[in-house]
Amino acid sequence: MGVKVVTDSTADLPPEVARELGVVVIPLRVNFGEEVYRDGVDLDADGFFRKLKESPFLPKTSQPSAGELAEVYSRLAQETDEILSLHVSAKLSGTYASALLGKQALEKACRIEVIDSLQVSMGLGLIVIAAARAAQRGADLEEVKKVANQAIPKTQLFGVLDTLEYLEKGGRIGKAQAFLGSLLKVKPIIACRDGEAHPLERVRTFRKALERMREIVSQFQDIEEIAVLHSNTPEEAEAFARSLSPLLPPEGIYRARFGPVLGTYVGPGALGVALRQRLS
Amino acid sequence: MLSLSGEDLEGMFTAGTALLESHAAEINALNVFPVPDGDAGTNMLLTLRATLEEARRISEKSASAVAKAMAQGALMGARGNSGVILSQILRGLAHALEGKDCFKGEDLARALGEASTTAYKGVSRPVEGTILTVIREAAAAAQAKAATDSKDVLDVLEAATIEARESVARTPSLLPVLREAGVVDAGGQGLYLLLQGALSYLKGEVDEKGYPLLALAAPTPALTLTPQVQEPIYGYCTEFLLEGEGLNVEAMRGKLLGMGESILVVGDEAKVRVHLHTLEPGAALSYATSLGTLRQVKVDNMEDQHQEFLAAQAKMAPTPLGDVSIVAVVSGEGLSKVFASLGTTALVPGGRSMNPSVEELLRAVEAVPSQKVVLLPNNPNILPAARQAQALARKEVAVIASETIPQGVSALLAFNYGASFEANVEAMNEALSTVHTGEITRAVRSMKGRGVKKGQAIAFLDGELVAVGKERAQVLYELVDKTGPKEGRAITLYIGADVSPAEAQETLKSLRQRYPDQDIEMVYGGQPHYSYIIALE
Repeated sequence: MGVKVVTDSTADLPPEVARELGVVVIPLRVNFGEEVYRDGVDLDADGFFRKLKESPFLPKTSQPSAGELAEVYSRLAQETDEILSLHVSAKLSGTYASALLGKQALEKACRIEVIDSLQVSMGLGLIVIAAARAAQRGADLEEVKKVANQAIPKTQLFGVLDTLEYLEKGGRIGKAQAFLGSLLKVKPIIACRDGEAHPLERVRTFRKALERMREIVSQFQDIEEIAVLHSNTPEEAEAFARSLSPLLPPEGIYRARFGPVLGTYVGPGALGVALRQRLS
Repeated sequence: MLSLSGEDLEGMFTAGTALLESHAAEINALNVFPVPDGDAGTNMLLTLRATLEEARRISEKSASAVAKAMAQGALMGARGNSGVILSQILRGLAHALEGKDCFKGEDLARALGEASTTAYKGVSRPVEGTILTVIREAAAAAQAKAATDSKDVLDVLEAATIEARESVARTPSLLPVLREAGVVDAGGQGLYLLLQGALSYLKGEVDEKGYPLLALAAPTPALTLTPQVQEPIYGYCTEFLLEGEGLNVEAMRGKLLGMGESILVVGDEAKVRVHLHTLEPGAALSYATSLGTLRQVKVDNMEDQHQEFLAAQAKMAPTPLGDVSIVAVVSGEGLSKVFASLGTTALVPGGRSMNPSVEELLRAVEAVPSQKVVLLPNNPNILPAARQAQALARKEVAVIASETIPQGVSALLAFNYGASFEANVEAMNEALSTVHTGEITRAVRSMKGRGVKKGQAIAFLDGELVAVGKERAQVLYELVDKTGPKEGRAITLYIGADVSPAEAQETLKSLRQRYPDQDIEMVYGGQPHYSYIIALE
């Protein structure tokens, strides 16, 4: 009977990792004009960035409905009576709200805990992984929930973007708004903090940005997990992952990709890193 | 004469300032490098004007009160390195004259001695062969005289003045850069002229009435986000260079006084530079054309400039950086916009060869919303005034010792929104050394020791002369080459006011062709004097 861990496609979990841990990923939607795609199901990262270049429409995203969440819970309730549903920051998406409603709508006697991760992408992903591992070890819902809540303050997400225009047009710029309007061509480094985008620093070149991000990451102690993500620059991402090797063996670093939903907001040319410190 | 009053003291300084004013352009030209932005003369002049304005305000005219008022005026009005040292000199003077209604020869000697010690104390790394040497040696001569029988105040001042002149002449022997450049120290020369003017006044050779002092613009309204701070919005900002023969600066100034405000007239018989704010630029220009040939005429509608800037600001209004505000000194319309767009809270105009005064910097610091302020002077000559403002401010102010625009930009970019104030100050200071600064301009005079002929294009890298040539583009390439090819490096070109868009585009294209693996960007800076300022990372 173990605890089932549910999350959404904004987590950018590598498919094999989700499979191995038995995590259920609920897709958000991305639409280009009238065409609607389920994130990670009907459209993958390659397909998305290709469409981004070709489509006359700017992509838009939408959360899964409460009904969809309820359906998933309902299905899972046949196998288990404990579900942990971990989702993208409520400040960035209405998915958390849908999950809360979905939980309410469920009639089966199944314990469901819904948590706002205050994170996104592999920031959310690393928290999900920690919870799922605990579930695999046989922890009960209370325990798994505790692990998830402990992981939240120990998880960081940073990224360098080629441009802030997608974040701005998508309405997710948050506090990173302070970086808008620069007359110099600079690369912004932003973080996900308090559930929204925060400005960190700006540098002149992508190369400098990677150097800075490495420095920022190395300032954290007792790092247990790292994930590196990119929109469409696999070589740079790989080199960056290797540059983090003093902190973790390169094989231990997750390689992930910004999926269609994240791509809608970070745009092409983005590179990110998520880390989780040891839980006390 | 045996003893002097506060009124005499005021008169002496007024006459000294007038003499300095008439030589301000020459002093500006005493630049170690033949670059057009020399401003020691203007800085000292403006500092002294602030000094005298303060002295005029008080009703009690004892020597003590007048000296104190002058020190206060200088403290706030100090501009540039030389201005700040002058303010320290006046501070020492005022301290020695405290409580005195009148002063005699011995008092003057002692006051000059204290002026010297205070000046030295105010500089973290005193350099000989500068204004410091001159005040020290002049004070020593004054004290030697006062110890003899002829301790009359006039004799004491004369001894100080003669020694000052000789001390200035010796400065090249103490400071190699002066010798190489074939000039004496500008600050020292200014100090000598101040003493000489005072002496002439005491001797009755000069009538103070012949030197009307022109008030600069009145104090400004709130500074925040507005660059046109110290000039009221008043008509047209009119500037020109007048070339002719037998030009009479005094007469010109007198005539222009009736036409507007913020009058600045400096020069000599052959060349006079004029700056004024007037509702009728035509009248000023007609008057000038009747005297000679006009060059470099510039007429700007100040209201337009102001409105344009406010509109741009409203669009780019930076959100407060947490609880920290950043104040930067910038000169150049484009550069102002760049700094504003990167999150600078308030800009203090560097002005055309006019460094901001301590008071202007202080007002900017007080005007920004936060209690924690970072100050970027972007010029080594502004650093002393910045530190002075920091000492006087009631807020927590950190001065980042940025010496150039590229350094200022690097520091600004290094600001981390997630870090503490202290961590940011450290990061911003560290960022200064991560960028090299290139500057391209034209030599305003020859420099024999370096094979520079007047009019040639010259390039500086981090303050060192590295290339000389006929064309700007040529020395620019040499400069970039000298820093070695670095793959993936970022180069930013800030285009000056005297470069046409066509030339700028051409230059950018050529640079990109020459260095295809480097990231080269071009931004309109609009800065005066330097055709190109280059940031090389």
